[in-house]
Amino acid sequence: MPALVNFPGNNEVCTEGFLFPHYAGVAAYQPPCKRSRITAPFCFAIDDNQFAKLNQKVVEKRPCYIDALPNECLFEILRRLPGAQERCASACVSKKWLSVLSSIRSSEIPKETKTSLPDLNEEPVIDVEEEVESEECIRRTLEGKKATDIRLAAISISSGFRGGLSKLLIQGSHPTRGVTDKGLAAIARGCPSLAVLSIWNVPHVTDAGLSEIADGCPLLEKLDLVQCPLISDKGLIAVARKCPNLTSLNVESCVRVGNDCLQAIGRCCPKLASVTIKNCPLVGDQGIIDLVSSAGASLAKVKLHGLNIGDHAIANVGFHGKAITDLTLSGLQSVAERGFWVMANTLGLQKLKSVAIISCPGLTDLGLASIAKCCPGLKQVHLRRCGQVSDAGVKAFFEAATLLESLQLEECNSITLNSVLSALIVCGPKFKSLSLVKCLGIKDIITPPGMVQIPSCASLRCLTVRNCPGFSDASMVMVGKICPMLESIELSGLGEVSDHGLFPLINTCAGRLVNVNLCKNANLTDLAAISLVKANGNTIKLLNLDGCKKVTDKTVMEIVERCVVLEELDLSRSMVSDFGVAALASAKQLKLRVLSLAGCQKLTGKSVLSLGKMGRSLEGLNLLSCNLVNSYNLASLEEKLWWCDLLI
Amino acid sequence: MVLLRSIDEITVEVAETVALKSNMLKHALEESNPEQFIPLPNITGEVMFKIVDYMTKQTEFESKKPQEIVEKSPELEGDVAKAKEALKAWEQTVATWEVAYMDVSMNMLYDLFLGANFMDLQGLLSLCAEKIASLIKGKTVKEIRKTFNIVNDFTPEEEADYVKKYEWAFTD
Repeated sequence: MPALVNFPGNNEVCTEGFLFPHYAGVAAYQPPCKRSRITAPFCFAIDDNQFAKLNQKVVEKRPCYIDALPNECLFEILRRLPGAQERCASACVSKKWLSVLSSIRSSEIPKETKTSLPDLNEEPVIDVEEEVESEECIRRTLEGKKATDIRLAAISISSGFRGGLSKLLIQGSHPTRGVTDKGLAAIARGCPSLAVLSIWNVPHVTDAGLSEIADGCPLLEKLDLVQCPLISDKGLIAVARKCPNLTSLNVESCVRVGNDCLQAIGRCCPKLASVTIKNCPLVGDQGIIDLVSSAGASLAKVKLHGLNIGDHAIANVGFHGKAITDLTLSGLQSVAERGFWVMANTLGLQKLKSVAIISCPGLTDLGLASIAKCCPGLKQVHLRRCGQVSDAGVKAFFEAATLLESLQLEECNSITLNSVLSALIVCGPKFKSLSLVKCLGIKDIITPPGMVQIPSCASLRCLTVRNCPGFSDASMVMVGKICPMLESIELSGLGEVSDHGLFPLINTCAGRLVNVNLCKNANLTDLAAISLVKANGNTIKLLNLDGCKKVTDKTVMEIVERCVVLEELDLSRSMVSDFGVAALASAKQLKLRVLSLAGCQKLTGKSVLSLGKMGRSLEGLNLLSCNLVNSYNLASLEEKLWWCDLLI
Repeated sequence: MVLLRSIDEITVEVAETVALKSNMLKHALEESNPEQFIPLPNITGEVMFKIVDYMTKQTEFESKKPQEIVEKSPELEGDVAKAKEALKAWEQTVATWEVAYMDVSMNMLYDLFLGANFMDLQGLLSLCAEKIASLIKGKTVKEIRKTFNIVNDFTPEEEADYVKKYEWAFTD
């Protein structure tokens, strides 16, 4: 027996391990220089009692450490835990246990031990912060410092027995122990029914984490990635391949994302309906072309913002956009007139209802007119910072867009009031809403000679003119004459407008106005405000006089007397005093929901006492920057109006 | 026959059929000289004997497992029922033996688990894991830490997070 003879070892007696030095007669005793063989089954020459005693002695000497078990053993133990309560309790024992638990996929739990809902006797305390939308659908949000891997692991374990996590929003990350791929992997393993995932501003998440999610959550429908600098095409390609139910994708400021993933997503996600791509410098024409050509049948909402794409890509969007209803093109510096013209004239955008073109210097009158002509269903248009669009374009646009309902022009400085007003006369019967914001070209116009009777626009219901410095009383008078059917008006930030300009408008729209916003009109006085309230007391629901410094209690008294259905009232930074507030508070017929008195310098503690009597309908009260209102009173006000949202 | 040697230099001899129950031994036997012993560097003598006991008994049970008859003809229906009963009885015997076998101290339980893991014995691994899992059953977090001598390594912040979320798991 050569192997046994050459047995290694030293000549000292071993003091470790299971040796029984007192029992020399035992066949199992092994001095190192001698070997004996025992054939199975084992047999000891000692009796059971002695054996048990020895066992105990050794047990007492050595404490047990489950932590000495390797992770795979701990994994085997934890995946056999009998119930939800045990899993939750184990998750709180130590970080090692938590990380092993969160690495268990639900498919790895033996069926006999899996419980989807806990015993009724063991019903856990439901955390008030969490919104449980229905039994099956749970939503979690982690923000800022609370966004850590550990919390994600805990969510993954606990959601398993409450019916499954369906929405997860992670906004920000803890600065030192924040969200990494590990946390996402835990979610991927524990939440197979995840449908909505939003990851905002989490710098350490990489493609590996996103791939884990793709593997573990095949039912993913909406993915939202904002400012994730380490995520690239690889991660998104994994999502495209494994999540065929994807309907909505939003990728913003992810510097490594490029064209390849768009190709994959277009090809692999047949249900893709909404895509937003913003500020991704590596995305170019080819990616957009691949995306729209493959997903054209389902894609309904497309938003492209701040990308290095040109005419070719836009033309393809038009050509393949058979299903597009909402299109936003923003910050596309490289798209020229030709791009927009081709996009429209391919006649592909037949279902387009709403289009927004922002900061695209390539949009000209020709492009705008083409869009109106070739998209018959167009209802809403928003143009911002399109400096090349001029009066001719607007006119042609209105002539062609017969189903147009709403137009918003912002910072389009080449447009003058002439075109707007003449457009209002030729517009289609459905045109309801016009909005002019910061358009520096809007200045007073003189009535064209020979025009005796000024035609009117019967369909316009909503007019907004905001921060157009050239808009003064004369323009206002014209508007008042042309638009008799207005219900909602916003005429704000117009430093040049005074009472004189408003009177004609108030007269023509008397009895119809529902929402009136006249904020930041410093020249407005009680005269106009009172006239407004008198004429429209029965209908007016929202009245905003924020920043109208000359409005006083007289207006408030008129409001109290005339207004029947008023719900929102803003008198911030006006000359309203305690008297006015007292009148408001005691007006029982007024069921105000929202009241703002911010920055009203004339208010004192008396107002606070009056406000305590406000009715139960009040949902919001704004008393910011009221210097004369002191803190003692405010505390008691908070108590009295406990149902109301107070801004102090 | 196969020779196994524990870390404290105790040897045991087992039949080859028994040894093949362990995947690790199966691979080792393919590679090594049958005259040589197979060292088990992580396992002490007592644990080795316990594991060998398991392997031997399992082999015995396997050999005695009643045949399942899957015949669909009506004459053999009686036989099918009998076979099912016999199988049930056999499963009961195995289960009873396993319960008695697993009635060991905590130390032995860990050592057995490690041993089963090392020797790749799926059946014993499963038994040990289930036994330890059953020790966790019904316990709160503090009790689990006490039973298994685990040190709490969560920071106070993290723990506060938990106490709020899983309060019910902490109730004593």
